[in-house]
Amino acid sequence: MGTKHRYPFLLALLCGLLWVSPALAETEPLRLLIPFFFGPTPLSQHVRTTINFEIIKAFRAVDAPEKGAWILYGQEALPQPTHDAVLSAAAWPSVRADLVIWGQVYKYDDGVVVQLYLTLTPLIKKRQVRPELWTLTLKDGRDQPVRLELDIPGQFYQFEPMLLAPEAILAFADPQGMPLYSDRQGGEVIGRVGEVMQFLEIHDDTLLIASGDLQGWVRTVPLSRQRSEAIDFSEGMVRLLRGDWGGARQSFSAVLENSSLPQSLRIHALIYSGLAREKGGLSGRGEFEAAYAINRLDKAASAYLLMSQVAEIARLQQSGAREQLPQARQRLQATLEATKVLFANDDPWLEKLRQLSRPPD
Amino acid sequence: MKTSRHLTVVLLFLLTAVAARTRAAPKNEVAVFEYEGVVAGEASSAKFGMFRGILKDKISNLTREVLQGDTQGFEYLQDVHINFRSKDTFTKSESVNLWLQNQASVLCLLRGTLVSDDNVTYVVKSNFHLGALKEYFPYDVVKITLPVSSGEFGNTQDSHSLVILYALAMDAKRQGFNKSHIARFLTAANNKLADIKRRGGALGDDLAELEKALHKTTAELLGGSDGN
Repeated sequence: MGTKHRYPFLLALLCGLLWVSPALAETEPLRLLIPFFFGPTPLSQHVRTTINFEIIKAFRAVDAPEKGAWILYGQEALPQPTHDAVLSAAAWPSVRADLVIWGQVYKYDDGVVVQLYLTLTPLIKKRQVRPELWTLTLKDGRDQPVRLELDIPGQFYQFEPMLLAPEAILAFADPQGMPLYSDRQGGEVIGRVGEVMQFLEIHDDTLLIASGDLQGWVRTVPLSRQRSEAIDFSEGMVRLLRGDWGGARQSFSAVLENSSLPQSLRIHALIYSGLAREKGGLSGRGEFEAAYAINRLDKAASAYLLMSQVAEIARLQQSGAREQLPQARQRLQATLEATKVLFANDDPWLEKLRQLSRPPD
Repeated sequence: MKTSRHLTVVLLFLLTAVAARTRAAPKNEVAVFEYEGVVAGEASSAKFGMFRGILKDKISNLTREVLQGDTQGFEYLQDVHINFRSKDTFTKSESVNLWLQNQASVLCLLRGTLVSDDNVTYVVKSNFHLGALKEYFPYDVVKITLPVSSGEFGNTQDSHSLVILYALAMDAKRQGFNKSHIARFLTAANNKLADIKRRGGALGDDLAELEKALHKTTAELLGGSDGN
């Protein structure tokens, strides 16, 4: 790999306008890297540019082009198409990305397949404010305080492979890059989109871009006949990590509507949706139960279901409805019994749950 | 009282350490022999190259996606890799099993054939040999047949991952890991199975048998329930 000893990424800027609402005032904006995609060129370059456009569109606001995330556009190739290589690239001081959306394009026999991934880097755990952590402190049967904490269950995601639409293959065959038009509709080609760009206007089907000395319109081409869950899922993760509970629920709800969703992603989308509900003051138990019902061996789904039952106990303790506590403890005990096989015997988190499920002396 | 509790903790720690030390060595190689029907310089070679690329990329990321950030006790999985070998000389199933017995680090062996009637459309026939790790799977070989086609990309990844995950689960059992450890592989295997079914693809006889073997292992783990 020729770039092994070189600075791995020059970051073409990006447009990331920091927008902070009062509710999210304490959370830092996240850095989302979109590195070079693997696969034949110019196809893979065009696919990456289109994914960048889709991400920019996903984070657009009415008055500002972006919310809560800086999009970093990697300028050099990764050494390997692996989560590990992505983590190394994301850790470079010039990059320091919290999330990475990356991908690979395969010409596979009669068509072109795009495989997208999302990697959450360890930097998300080093933020000063981590709204996505679920923490509960409540009293056990002996009136002793017990603190429970649950971190998000996933860091490494692979999305459903996407079959590139024939019109996209045709449009992406141009080695000169994506055309930049003089007008939003019609007009003439005035140049090509460069690696450094600034987004001036964002619409569903077109974007007004300043790239180099040029300013013109890009017409986006749908990558596939079927909408990929990758954009909604990534948008949901950013919203969740920033404590935008309503936004996260909206994004994961869109993810869950996708009929081509891999089962592991469906389980995590349900968990994130339930977590956003709990964080927003609602019960997420329905979502956690649904996640657990899909695959009763799933440790994360079990942990969140257990946590929601603890949250219920906490709510009863706070509301003073003590007569309902024994039933809530019994439910917790029953779930504990059914799921204990998924945890190590000496799991300290599980031990705390056992402590909470015990009735008062 | 406090001293005896400390002693118990120390004893437990020592027992765990001893168990870890005496555990059988993990199997970490997916041995892939060049398939029959692949001819250098011809279309078949390019098709096999694509197929190999998909397998390699998938296996490189598989353990990260199975474990997510919860890797304690699974450090040995960092060594799981795919090893592409030249064509094999096995003539019968017994010789494959014998080879597997002598290759302590091989998790599973993959060989197969690339078939085409017209040199344009190809079908890939994979034969997975699990050796002693077949456990509840009734045959020596898990056969997977799929067209080399972009529409089958997802199923190609998932069907091969499914067998490897089953082998990893059985290897964890062989090494003496506890149920929670084995369950992590079975969780992922059940998800892959569901994805293959969601795409509307027929599982084929062998994957249907593997599904039964998975359910049996899961039921064993959960005590009667198959987990789905």
